[in-house]
This record gives sequence, structure tokens and C-alpha cells, in this order.
Amino acid sequence: MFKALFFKEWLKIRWAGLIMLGLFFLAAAKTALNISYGIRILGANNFWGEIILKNIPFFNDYLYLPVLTGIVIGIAQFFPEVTESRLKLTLHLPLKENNILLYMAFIGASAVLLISAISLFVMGLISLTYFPSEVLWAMVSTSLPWVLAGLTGYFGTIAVFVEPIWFKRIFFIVVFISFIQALLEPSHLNFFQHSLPQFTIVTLLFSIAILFSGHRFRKGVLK
Amino acid sequence: MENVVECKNLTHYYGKRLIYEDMSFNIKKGSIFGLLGKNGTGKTTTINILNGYLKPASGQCLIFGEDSQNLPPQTKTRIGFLMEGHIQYNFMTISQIEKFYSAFFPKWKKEAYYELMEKLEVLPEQKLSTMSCGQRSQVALGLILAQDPDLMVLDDYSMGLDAGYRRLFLDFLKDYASSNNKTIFITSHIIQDLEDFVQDIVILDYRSVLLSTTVKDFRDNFKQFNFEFDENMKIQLEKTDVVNNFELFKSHGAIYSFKEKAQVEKYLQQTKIPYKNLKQVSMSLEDAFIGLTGKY
Repeated sequence: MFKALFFKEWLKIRWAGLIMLGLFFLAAAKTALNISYGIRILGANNFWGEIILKNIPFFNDYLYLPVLTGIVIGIAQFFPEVTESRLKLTLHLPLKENNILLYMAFIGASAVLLISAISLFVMGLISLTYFPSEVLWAMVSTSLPWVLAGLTGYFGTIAVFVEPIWFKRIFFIVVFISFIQALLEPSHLNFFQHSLPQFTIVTLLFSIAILFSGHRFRKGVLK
Repeated sequence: MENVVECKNLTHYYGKRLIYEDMSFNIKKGSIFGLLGKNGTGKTTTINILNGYLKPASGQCLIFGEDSQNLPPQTKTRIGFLMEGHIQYNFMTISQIEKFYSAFFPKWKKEAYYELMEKLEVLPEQKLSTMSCGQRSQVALGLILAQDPDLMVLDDYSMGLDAGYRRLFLDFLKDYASSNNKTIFITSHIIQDLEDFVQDIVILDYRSVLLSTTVKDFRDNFKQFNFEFDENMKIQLEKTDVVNNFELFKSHGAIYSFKEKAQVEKYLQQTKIPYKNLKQVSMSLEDAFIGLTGKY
């Protein structure tokens, strides 16, 4: 049964996922060109100084892409469910309603993580081409909060879509945007070195927001 | 006889607007039950309560003895649900949607689905979103037939369908209903189609249940009496225990009643209404429905 549910979710998100992956590759290509251009224009020493001494990430084009991925995957997955209340069909399937919603969220979140991981891997290869491995680890730890922001964007989007009460939708939007801003605003390397576990726990807790929205959807709470 | 559905004292409001109060009905195993009513009287609300998508303000529905608000997965496999407008997963193709649902239902009958699909001029790889409303209705019906449920809940199956598709839909439903102990709960705004199909009915009015009976009893006992009067006379009728409803138009009138002609005649005489040519006329189920609920 879960295999069939995976099949349904895959049909909905596959194109959105491929488009986001394409955007990530474009961002990676741009980053590679920027590094190459910077080294040629500024010289390797000066460029190194810009990156390390001034603490400016060379992969800033990647900053908003995980959030965008989360939102796009969330929309692709849940827009067809909430239009014409199609979610009623899904919740009528012979599985526990909460299990259905959590599994759908798990599939979407996995897609966001997979796309982010592939793009991080590509960025990592670019980093290793030009810089020593220490820079790679700094890059990974700097961009992990961005991936968390992507997951938060995803969990926020699906909760807002399923939520039937406008007031609570707005509340969700405010909470999720604030959290995403906190994850994205620091722009220097390794900012989240010590607080990443706490941010990760909060992000994972956001995954259950859909259960509360789903409960209100099922009980037909007034909009 | 065993009841598949038992709804007790259902009351529901949307905000402060009362939809209905203290509505109760049972659906017997193997019966075809019609919930009839004009738009906005609470048919879809009842179906939503029955499927656990809406919590009533008070009251409870039991399906196969389980509270409809918390149906276990095993019970859900026994219930086929057709959403109003034949909503299905439009992003899937004919074959994908069959493959998807087949994983959930142990008694899945693939051939029942494809038998219906063969009647449509569609390809297995055609997406539902590219199909007409009538074709989509057949896909939705085919999926429920393949599920082979013990109870079918059909919310306004006739919505958007032309006469041919409506008839095709009912032909398949009749075939399904004739198999062992299958129960159907159906709502529709096209009453004439249900005339020879449903057995038990509940007729909803705004805020209340007007009637709960069998189609046979309703047609045998509910009568229309036409009469004539002088167009210049001002006639005033009101609803009483004799007159369930009435219509006046120029020099013609109609009284709808569960009483016999003699009692209606006596009522007209007592109220000094100058009637002429009082006669009982035959009614279809739709006439009777409109007679009882009114045109507005």
C-alpha cells in the first residue's frame, strides 16, 4: 500500500523535482564560472582573501534554492490534493489518516533532501576543484542550515495548504517565514556550527504540523 | 434486518446556520437508499459526516457498527465512495489509477474496471484531466465497481452527466446492487432517474427531515389533487395536516396531500374555497418530490 502511495506522490512531484534539480545545476555552473572568473580577474591570492578572510561564501547563489525547492515540491504535491478537496479521496484509503499524511510528508521531505544532497555534492566537487578540503567542510556546514530552511519551507507549505482555517494559515506563514529567515540571514561561514542540532530538531518538529491541519480538514472545521 | 448505516439524532450547523436538527435514519443491508433534497438542504453534509470528513454538532453515524468519525482501515475497504463531481486523481492515466487503487483493496476486480473502460473511447495511457466529465464519471464508477465494496456511498452521481451517461451509470449500479447483499446510499438532484432504482428515501427540507419512507409508500400515499377556480377570486390556502403543500396559478390550483380525496374535498368546503373539478392526478416520483418540497 505504501508503495502505491509512493507511486502517487512520485507522479505529482517528479517534474517539479527535475526542474528544481535543473536550477541547482545552473546555480552550480554559475558558481564554477564565478570562481574561475574571480581567480582570473583578482588573482588566486586576492580571491582567496575575499573568501576566507572576509568570510564571504562563494556559493551564495545556492542560498535560496533549497527553500524554493521545498515550496515548489510542497505545492506540486498538495495543490492537486486540496483542489476540489481531493484529499478526501486520499484520506478514504484504507490506512490510518495520520500515517497517510506523515508518509506523504516523508516522501516530499525526502525529495527536498535528495535534491539538496545532489546539488551539495556537485557544489562539493566544484569546491574541491579550486580549494582545499577544509573549505569543503566549511561550505557543507554553512549550507546545511539552508537545507533545513528548505525542509521548513516544505513543511510550512504543506501545512498551509491542508489547513482549513485562514487565521491559522497566516499564523503558520508567519512562524515558518521567521524560522526560515533565522536560518538564511547569517551570511558568513560556519555561523551555525554550534546551534545546528537545535535548529534541526525544531525543523523536524515542524513535520507534524500537517497532522493538526489534517485533523481540522477531516473534521470540517469552519474556514 | 441488519443495518449497515445507523445515523442517530444528527444536528449540524455551519456557523449559526442550522442545516438540520435531530435527523435519524438507518440503511438496511442490501437496500438502495436515496437521500433527496433541494440544493443546500444538507445532502453532501450528511455524506461528509458519514465518511468522517465532518464532525456533526451532535449525533452520531455508525457504519458497519463503527463510529464514522473513526473508521478503521478494514472498514474503509468495505466502503466505496464517489465524490460529488466524480472527483478523482486527474494527474493519473487510466491504467495508473487502476494500478494505484488495486494495491489497497483485497477484493479488487480489475476486469470490472476495464469492462467499463472499453465502452469509452479512451486509451490506457490517457490522463483523466484530458477526459470529458462523462468519461471521468465512468472512470470513477469503474474504480468503485472494481473495489467491490459492501456499501457504496454516491454523492450526486448525476452531476454534469447527460442522459446517456446517467443511464449507463445506473445500469452498472443496478447490476452491482443485484449481486449479494450490496448496499447503496445515493444522493441526486435528478429525481426521475431514481424512480425505479431506490427503495428507501429520506427527503430533506431546509433545517429538517420532511419524510422518511419507502418509494412505494410515498408514491402510493402521496397524492396530487388539481382543481379550478374563478381567476377573479382571491384564494388563500395554507399548509395543514390535510394540505402538505399547494400551488396556485391563475385559475388552476393543486393540493398535495397524504389524505384521501374526500378529506381534501371536506377541507376545501370547510374553508369555503370555491373550487371546481377537483380530481386526483397521477404523479412521477419527481412530481411528488416537487409537490412535497415546493418549487422554490
